[in-house]
Amino acid sequence: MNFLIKKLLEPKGMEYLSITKDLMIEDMSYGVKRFADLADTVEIGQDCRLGYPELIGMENMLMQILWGGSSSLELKGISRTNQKQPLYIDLYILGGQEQPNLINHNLLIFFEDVTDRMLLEQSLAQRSHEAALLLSSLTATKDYLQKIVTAIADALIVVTKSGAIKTINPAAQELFGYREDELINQPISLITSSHIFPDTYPQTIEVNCQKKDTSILTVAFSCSIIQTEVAGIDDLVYIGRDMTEQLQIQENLNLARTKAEEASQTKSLFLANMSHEIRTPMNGVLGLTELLAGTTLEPVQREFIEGIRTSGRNLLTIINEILDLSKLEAGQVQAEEYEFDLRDCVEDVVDLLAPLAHGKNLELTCMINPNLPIAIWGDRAKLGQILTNFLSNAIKFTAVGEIIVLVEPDPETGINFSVIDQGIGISAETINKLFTPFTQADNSTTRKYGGTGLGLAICKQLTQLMDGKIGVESKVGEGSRFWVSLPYDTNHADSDHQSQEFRFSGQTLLVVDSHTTTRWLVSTYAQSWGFNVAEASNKEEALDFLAAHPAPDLVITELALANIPELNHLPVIIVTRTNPEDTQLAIARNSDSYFLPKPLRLTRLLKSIENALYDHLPTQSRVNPPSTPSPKILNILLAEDNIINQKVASTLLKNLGHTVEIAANGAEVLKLLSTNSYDIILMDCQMPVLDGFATTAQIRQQEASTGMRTIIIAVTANAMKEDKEQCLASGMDDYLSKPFYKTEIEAMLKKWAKS
Amino acid sequence: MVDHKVSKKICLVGDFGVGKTSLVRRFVDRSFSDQYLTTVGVKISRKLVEINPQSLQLLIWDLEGSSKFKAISATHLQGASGAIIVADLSRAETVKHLEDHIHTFLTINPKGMIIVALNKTDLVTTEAIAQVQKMPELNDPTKILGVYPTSAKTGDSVDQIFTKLAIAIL
Repeated sequence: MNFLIKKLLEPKGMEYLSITKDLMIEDMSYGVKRFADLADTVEIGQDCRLGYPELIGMENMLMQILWGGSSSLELKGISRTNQKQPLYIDLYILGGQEQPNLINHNLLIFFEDVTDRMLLEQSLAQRSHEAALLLSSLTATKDYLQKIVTAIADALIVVTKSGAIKTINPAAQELFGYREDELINQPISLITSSHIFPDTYPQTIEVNCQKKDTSILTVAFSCSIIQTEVAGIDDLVYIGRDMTEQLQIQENLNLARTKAEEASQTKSLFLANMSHEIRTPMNGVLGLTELLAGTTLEPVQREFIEGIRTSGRNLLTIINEILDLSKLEAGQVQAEEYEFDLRDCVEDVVDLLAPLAHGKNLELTCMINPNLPIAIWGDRAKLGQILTNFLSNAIKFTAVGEIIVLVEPDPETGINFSVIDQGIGISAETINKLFTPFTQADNSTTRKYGGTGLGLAICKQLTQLMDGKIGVESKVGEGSRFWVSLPYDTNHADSDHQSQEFRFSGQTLLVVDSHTTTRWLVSTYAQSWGFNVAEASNKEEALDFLAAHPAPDLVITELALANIPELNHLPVIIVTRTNPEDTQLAIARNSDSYFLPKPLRLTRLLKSIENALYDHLPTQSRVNPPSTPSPKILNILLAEDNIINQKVASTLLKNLGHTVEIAANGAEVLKLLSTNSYDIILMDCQMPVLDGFATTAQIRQQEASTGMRTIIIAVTANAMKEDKEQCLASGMDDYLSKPFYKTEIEAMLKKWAKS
Repeated sequence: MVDHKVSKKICLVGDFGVGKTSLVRRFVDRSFSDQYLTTVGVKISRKLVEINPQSLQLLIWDLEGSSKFKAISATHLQGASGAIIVADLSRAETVKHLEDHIHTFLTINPKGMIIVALNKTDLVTTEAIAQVQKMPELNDPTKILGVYPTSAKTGDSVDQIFTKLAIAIL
């Protein structure tokens, strides 16, 4: 290398390599190894690419320079990473000859240390890139937040603490009808004059806002503070939703509800009034019909009268049912809680309807599980109403066969009451409609069997009122089982029940009855009392038993099988039905036996067994009614404004042997009382001039000074329970609902005559 | 020949900060650092890749990334057999620039092989990755060997892109 070049390169710290066309090193400066990647490989005669890898791949370029295709090549900023200190170099590659020639061509590679420049460049680029990356990241975050704000369907407003609007989103612009530039930096009072700075955050407020077109809307805002690191300059963010429509809907709903409630009250009132208004003339119709039936009539006339009476009673039933249902639906009925006798309740219902069943030649059996407690807390009247409905339906829809009333423990609820019949049954399609008002299985049923279709709807309401369950299972042509399960407590100890257990231990009872259910019923009850029970379904079986066993302690037999001479010397209880034939037969029988009417009542059965076994007085047969003392003649004041009802009631009372005086209103009552005294006053509640309640109050007031007390019995067409309470509260002693029957008034008078 | 091994030059090309250096560090040193240190000039690393039955020495040129103010140095690209063109999936503009880089590289090395690395998959959702992968400009088999979502941080697909490129240029 020429001396001059060396002199030139030295002060610049540059080094050089001279390489042949084969890329072999032919000459080099002293310090050139410092710039090599692998210094050991940099030797004269070695391939230059070993020590300077940046030349790998550059062969074509090098050849072009060598052959004059291009003048030079610069490779800048090559970093050497094998050094302790950072090192950057620039390479300049030139042809070694002025004119390329075949003998001597070589390449010169100059190396310059550019570390200082590159480090400065790195530091600048580092800062610039970091800033750019930060900006890009901030921009992306801001864009994303902006997109969220824009996309929010609710109106978003950011307000400074001084009330200037800083940000609004498109939803807010649309809601208030302003453009963005019309609201930014404007006071929030532009859209609402309400105070929108609550004391605590976050908070929800509902305020009236004004749109650009001056229309008013109600907006529900949720507001919260945008916390910043500098205290005191926090902005507030409001997210609002237009509530105008919702409030309107709410208002309409409230209005509709108020209207519905008013309508419902009007309906209830209408029904109560209608009930009263219909009951008053019905009283006249039924009363006069009853009186007319008591007169001498042609057979045809009697038939017509019976028709009128039956229709009238049916009409009354329908009115009562409609009234019951409307009261239940209006929520005017509450379930009561008091202690009652479970057996009495169920067996009373069965007793009441037994004549109907026996009249159709149906067997009616009532089985109350002997393990159930006798005393129950609940609403006896409502349970009775449900059972009466079930049982009268069962009787109505059963032509042949038997009906069983079953009372059993229900492990889930408490006690289950079932009425099982062998009637026409209900198809699967119609069974679901049964508990809906005015629905019977189908229209033809209504035509054939009558009824309003309200009974089961009432039962369902009553059951729900008592937190119970109600249901039915049925098969067409085979029969139905209607049941109700009520949450009665069956776990409490029942001393009466426990004392009955095993009281007849060791004694033998023979049950002779062709009816399987009756045998099962008597056996179950008797076994629970400790009896050894034998069953016979006919005369032969009974005789077989008697021949093979010692004489039983007691025999319970149906009337038809009672004619077995072998039974004569034994204590016998004869079970009869409540139809006239059986009664006549029983009376005709020269009997020293006990008679027990079907349906068998548990307590009655027990009493009969006790009597038959221990009393040894066979003449005390139950078919002989006890002689009743002749009724006391009463002096009655009848307060009644309706002339027909005056006639009906006074005739009835006179027929019962009492003396009657009539007052057409309360004032007349008071006037008569000032001169006469009466055993009983029958007081109509609704009378002109002075009504029954006010009259009674005055009477009681007057009596306070004399110490006397006249019995006052309210007579009213208002059938609601509240009316009864009002009667008693005003000082009356009892209550009779119109229209009343002869038996009812007779029983009422008898009750009060005693006192 | 310079050595008993075959040596080939490949370049990593892309915008600044897309993770070119990190991909090289992951592949060559099996390491990763979250700290950003921008590259100036070019750093050349060697890595021997075994491709049975041969072995290939890759000379990996980690080029200074382009920015608004500085383009890729064309001389540095010269003589490269292949390139890994890198974008940062979390920065849309770097993805947008892929096409320019591909074009630049192919202008200088018309026969060069290209693999696209969509880097930093650990920062984005799979839906976003799929979206980018579907871009038509990245689906030209005449120019591009393949498009790979990569993560220098987790190492996902890093060896794969280098090996695939090595096989293609051998």
